[in-house]
Amino acid sequence: MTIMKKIMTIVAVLLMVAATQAQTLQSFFDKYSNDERFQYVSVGKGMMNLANVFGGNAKNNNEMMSKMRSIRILTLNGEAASALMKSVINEIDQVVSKGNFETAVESRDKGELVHIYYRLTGKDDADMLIVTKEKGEFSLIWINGKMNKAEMMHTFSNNG
Amino acid sequence: MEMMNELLEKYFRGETTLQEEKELRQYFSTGNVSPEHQIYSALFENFEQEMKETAPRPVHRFLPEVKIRKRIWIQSFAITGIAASFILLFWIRLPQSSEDFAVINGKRIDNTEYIQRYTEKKLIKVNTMLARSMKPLQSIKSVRQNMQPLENLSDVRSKMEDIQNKLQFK
Repeated sequence: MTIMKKIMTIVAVLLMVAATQAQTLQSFFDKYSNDERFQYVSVGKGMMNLANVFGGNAKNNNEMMSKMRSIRILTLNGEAASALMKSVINEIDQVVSKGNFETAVESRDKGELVHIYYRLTGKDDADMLIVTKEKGEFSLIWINGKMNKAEMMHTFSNNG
Repeated sequence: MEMMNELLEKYFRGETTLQEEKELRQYFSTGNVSPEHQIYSALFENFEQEMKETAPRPVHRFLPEVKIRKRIWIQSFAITGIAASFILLFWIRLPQSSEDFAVINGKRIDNTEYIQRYTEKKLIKVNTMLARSMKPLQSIKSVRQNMQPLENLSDVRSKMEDIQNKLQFK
């Protein structure tokens, strides 16, 4: 009986730790993906035919696409001053600061804001998070792939 | 006497209170029991005796250890099974999360063409926004390219100076 009590205590402690743990990018997307106020798109590896979207030559882009595993896009339309927008921005800021992301690009142009964050989640396994804020729209693009930092950054380095 | 009869009837019906049971025990322990109740005295004396008995050792020592071990094993198997089910559940759910779909206004859309166009639109938008903000850098690049002939001019000048110097020495 005492062993059972110990196991139950350990399980309870683990559950409490899990509940109090900081929100992850996955849980953030899970939280809002089915929310009616948001638009959510998930693209798996099988449907990656987006090579023409990126800059650079076609061969490089096809190589890059083959390394991408998933793209998830979450969009919120609304006033920048709305409570929901503020809370979502605050939440994603916390996710970024606690998720070992490093800032790769930060640009601001006439009210348009683009932040690109990057993190390694394993050997050659990376997450790229693009946060865009513009008038009435807040978007998050989460790209996951088997890429190193240079390859991941190449995605948006051939602009113009 | 009648009261004792009533109490005994109540006792055997299982309706006596603790106080009434105590009264019955006291009655049978005094030794002054009426002959018609003598048949029950052995029963109540036995109860009294058993109440006074104490366990010589903690009770759990008498429990067979094998049974406890068996119960722990069963519990461990049950817990492991529950944990395995959770892991399987998460494992099965993972591929679903990488499926191609969109959720617009709470409605799930599985139209691949729509998903493709939506994703393209968003990525192009980011590209455009980045290109716009990176424009000053491109301007610097183009200025540098335009300055290239001037750099060549300075090279030509230095070469001419070299030639001039050589000529003067001669």
